[in-house]
Amino acid sequence: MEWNFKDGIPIYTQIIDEMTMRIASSAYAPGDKLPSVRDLALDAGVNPNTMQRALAELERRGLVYSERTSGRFVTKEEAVLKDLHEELAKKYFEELTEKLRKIGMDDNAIKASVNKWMEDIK
Amino acid sequence: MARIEINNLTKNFGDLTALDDVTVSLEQGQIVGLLGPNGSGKTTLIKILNGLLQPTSGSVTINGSAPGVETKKVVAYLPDRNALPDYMTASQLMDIYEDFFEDFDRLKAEAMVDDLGINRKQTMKKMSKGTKEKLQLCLVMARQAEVYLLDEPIGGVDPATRDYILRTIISNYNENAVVLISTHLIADVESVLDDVVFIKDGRVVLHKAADEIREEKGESVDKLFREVFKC
Amino acid sequence: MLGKLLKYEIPAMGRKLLPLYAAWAATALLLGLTTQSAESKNEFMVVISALLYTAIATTIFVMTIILIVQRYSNSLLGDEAYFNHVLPVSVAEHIGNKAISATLWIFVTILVAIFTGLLIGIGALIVSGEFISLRDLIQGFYEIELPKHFGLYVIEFLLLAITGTVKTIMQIYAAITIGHQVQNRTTLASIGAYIMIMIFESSVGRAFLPLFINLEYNADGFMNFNRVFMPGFIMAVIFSAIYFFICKYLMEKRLNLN
Repeated sequence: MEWNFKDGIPIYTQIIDEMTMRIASSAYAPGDKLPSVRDLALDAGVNPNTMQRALAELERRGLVYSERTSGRFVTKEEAVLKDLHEELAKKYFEELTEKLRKIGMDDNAIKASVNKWMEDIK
Repeated sequence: MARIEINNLTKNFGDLTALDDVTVSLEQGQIVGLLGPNGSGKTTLIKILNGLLQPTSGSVTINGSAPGVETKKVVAYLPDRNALPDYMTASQLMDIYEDFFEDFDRLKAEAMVDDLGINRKQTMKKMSKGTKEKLQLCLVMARQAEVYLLDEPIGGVDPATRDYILRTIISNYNENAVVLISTHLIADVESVLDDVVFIKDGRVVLHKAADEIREEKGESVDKLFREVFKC
Repeated sequence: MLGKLLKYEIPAMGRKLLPLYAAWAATALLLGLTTQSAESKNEFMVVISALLYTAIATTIFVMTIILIVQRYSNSLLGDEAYFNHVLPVSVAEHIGNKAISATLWIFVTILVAIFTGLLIGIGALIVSGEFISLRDLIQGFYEIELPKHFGLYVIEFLLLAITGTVKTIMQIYAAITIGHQVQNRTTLASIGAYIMIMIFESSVGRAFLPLFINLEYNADGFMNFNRVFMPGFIMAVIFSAIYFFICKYLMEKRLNLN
């Protein structure tokens, strides 16, 4: 898995987004043990403190939990994961509709083309 | 108390003011970028922290003491030039480090030397400039020091080595140590830094967390640097 | 830590001097061999080997001085100082290390000089075929009648030689360290400092010498020798100490590597 950081956005935020994405896509499956902070930092080429801060935030959001001695794990709580998927889906739909409206499509046209698209890629 | 305290530090060379009333303190557990163009006073500051230059006024302390034998035990310094005796081999230099520095990890140094493809039996004299820099870096980073003062660690090396060095800095990270990296190649190091200190004409113009800069200004440290130091 | 410094410093000087010693010994032997056979054969060879011998002797002499200057100025005030002054070692130990190593090598050079003299003799003996047995030689030494207090003379002479050598080295170090305080004309300033040191030393010497002249004259001659030894010895110790503290002070409080 590649890490790509964009300029001008806190690295901390970008790590949270990337890790969230990895959890949502089951790259880190529920119950999986996460690599250590140091290894993740090395892999991403970022400061370990920044990585630590991002993981703490993920923990606050309930996406990961830590066990005192054995490290950090991806949550197994289905409710949390369901919320996460809904939240991400909502975000992507927002982006999509915003872009489509920008090019002049109304809501009916959007719905129609989404349906058509889903048929097309079957 | 902060690991490194710099109070109202001024350094003059004749009429030239290299550092002008600099006050900075650096906490342990941080990787700090000392960023400024050539001639801004970065090297002067690092040399004073090593006791190689004496302040004109003001003071610096490491663990509460002025530079001296005690601070030298815990400071690992990468100078901006080759300072090692050139008739010695990598192996012999590791012997010296092992003799003088209690915190030197011989096995780690050997592993790094091998990783970077340095011939342990070759004398410094026969090494290329880049290899010499790599070797110096291995020796310095193989110490479990409390303070790392790295003067332009990525200046003269190829991109692959640059990555290796940055990875070494990350993997070497420990919460007791402070790592000060002086450089003008900001884009390469910025993702590794906790804090950045901008130094311009001998004055500290900014001391902030790197992510705070990105958050507040919506731009990279590199971009801000280019604005602050625009010619 | 001083021991560890010496562990690296002594070989660092030896690295340059040992090959020269070997060459010197070889030419000494050659000179001995050719001298003996010269009467009948080749005078040209004698001249050549004598020239070689002298040339190497001169090289060693010059090299020793250069090494004393270089090992000090490069290691403690030049580029290598960026490494040496970062070691957790006190300035006093650094200076002591350089002075001890330099003194040691000067004495080794003197011993080698004596040895080459012997080699010339041996070379000559080999050619002439007149071998003196080792036992005869030792016997010969036993039969020499030593003057009174000979042991004391030797000890005093050695003490004087050592302290005098240390003082000369410290003079050079002090001059270099003072010269280094001047940013751009370091070499010139060092030479100037050296001249000032010489002037200072001779005027102090002249002022204090009368104190020693009044020592009691003694019939067996030993006190006579002491009249030469004591002032020389005391002065050397005092001056060495002064130069040492000048170096130490400047390096601790005024070090500014460029």
